[in-house]
Amino acid sequence: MPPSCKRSIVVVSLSLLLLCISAWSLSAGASFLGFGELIDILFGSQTGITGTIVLEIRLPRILLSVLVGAGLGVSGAVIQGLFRNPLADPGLIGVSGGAALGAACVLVLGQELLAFFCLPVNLLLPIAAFAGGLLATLLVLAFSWSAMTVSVVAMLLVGLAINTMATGGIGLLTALSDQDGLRNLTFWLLGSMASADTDKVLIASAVIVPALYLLLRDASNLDCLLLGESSARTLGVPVSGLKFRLVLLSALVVGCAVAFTGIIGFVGLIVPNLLRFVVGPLHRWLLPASAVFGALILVTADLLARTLWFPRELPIGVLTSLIGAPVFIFLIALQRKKGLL
Amino acid sequence: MRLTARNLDVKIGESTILDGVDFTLDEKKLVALVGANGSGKTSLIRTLSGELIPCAGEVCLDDKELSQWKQEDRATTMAVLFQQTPVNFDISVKQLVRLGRHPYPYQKQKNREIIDDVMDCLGLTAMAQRSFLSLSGGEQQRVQIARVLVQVWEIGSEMDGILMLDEPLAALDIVYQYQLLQLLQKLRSTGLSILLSIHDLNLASLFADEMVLLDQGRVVATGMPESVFTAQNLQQTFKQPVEIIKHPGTGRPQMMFSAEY
Repeated sequence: MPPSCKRSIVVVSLSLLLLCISAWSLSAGASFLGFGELIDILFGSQTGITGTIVLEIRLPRILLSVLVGAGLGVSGAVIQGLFRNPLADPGLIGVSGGAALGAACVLVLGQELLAFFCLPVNLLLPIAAFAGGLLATLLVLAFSWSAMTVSVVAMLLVGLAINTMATGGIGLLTALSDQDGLRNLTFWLLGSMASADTDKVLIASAVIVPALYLLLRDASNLDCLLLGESSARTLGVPVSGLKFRLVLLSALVVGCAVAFTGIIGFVGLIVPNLLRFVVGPLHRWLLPASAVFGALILVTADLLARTLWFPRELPIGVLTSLIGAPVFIFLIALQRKKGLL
Repeated sequence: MRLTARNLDVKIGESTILDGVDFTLDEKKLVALVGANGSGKTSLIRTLSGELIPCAGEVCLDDKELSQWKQEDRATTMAVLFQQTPVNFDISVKQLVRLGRHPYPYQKQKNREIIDDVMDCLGLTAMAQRSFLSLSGGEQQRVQIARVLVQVWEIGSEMDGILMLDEPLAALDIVYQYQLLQLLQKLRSTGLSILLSIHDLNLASLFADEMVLLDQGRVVATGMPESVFTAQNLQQTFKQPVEIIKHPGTGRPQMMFSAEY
């Protein structure tokens, strides 16, 4: 079978699986709904409390999971391509931490900031998270990037410093916040889809969908970047503009994801790495596959978070971290075996 | 295609890397850049390819200043293999070679033919699906050379481009060194202008049309091997006693250095 055929089958299979899990997730919960009932609700022929549960609670959660999962998967692949290192991840290099600090500022100092900027919280939250994520990415780039190479050690150390700074900042905000704020902040930091609503889905779509489209358009330029900046330039890639675009768009996507769902670790790291085994390292295939697989992982994780310990809900970030960390260790072992670490 | 540089000065920090370098790569010429470590070979290639910006002087590609060329036009005219091209992802040999055709996204059929042709020429066809990371250093070097060659390769018509290779023979065994140099000679005859930096002076003398001998960022001598590889020039550059004999087949100079005790 030609490799491109195999890759198409992978992407189509993942998409079908995503559809199936999403349908199951719509059905599953306190009240389990049959397929026929779901169709009736989705096409408006059944209303009432069940309709409200599906359309206003479960559907926004699933759509937000799809958007955030696709966003984290693609930005993980993009950041790894940008740093030319498969162990780069928005969480590890501090982008998520920076975004979390930005968002936490809004959550804790919300009233003062809202009054100052005259913006609704649903808009101010992603803006603050984006600014934090962008600042973190620029710091990592400034300290780890030289003309010829990207220093992995510097990248991880600066990421560690940013994450520590973010933890410190969030700790300070925690000390300043009241009981309710503290509870909100803690639950949000662990990652959750519980606060999903139609507004958030609309804002996340308006940010993530165009950003993903623009990132996917740069797939073949990212492939050239695998050879290093100098070689990419000789192949006609406008490297400076590309770097700027990728950093900006990734920070935007991660910022938006963190703003609405908190820190969901390891998705950006694990998704592209697992997919490289199947579709290879070229971004023409890796980016769309990461979008679908990232969405699939988050929809599944959200389903498990809601149903595993029902009626309590597990934070989704806890689940992805518990599963993601061992996979991360496995990937490190694999890199060592190939002599890359 | 013709590449010229006039009075190039390149500094990195306070250090002068290139000092008043004049250089010409004429059409259909194979020019070898030789000199000791740190003499400025890599810096000259990086400056000629636009990667290093000179603080004085200019680089012209076909009488038009290099910076005036659109990046995509330059990519279809000039291919460069840099000394360090680290790859951290598990990419297959064919996928990596295919990246060399990035400047030609709309020539899918032609791209396929060129990639197959170049891989065949460099003996890479059998390892097309192998992982680049699983190859030996020499095999990886051949794959990178193939990736650069496909960028300026033509099938059945005259080639018209510039090829710059920074130490392409490093890591290659003697058989592949000869094969590559013979291939470069053939490519030069079909229209390419080729510049390569090389440490093996005898191979440079045998295969190149012209030499540029660099020492501490300056051009010591330039021209035919016979006029560049003189005892005086070589001793000045390498600080080692040298005996020069003529190659029995070609008459080109061959150098035998001896250690100074």
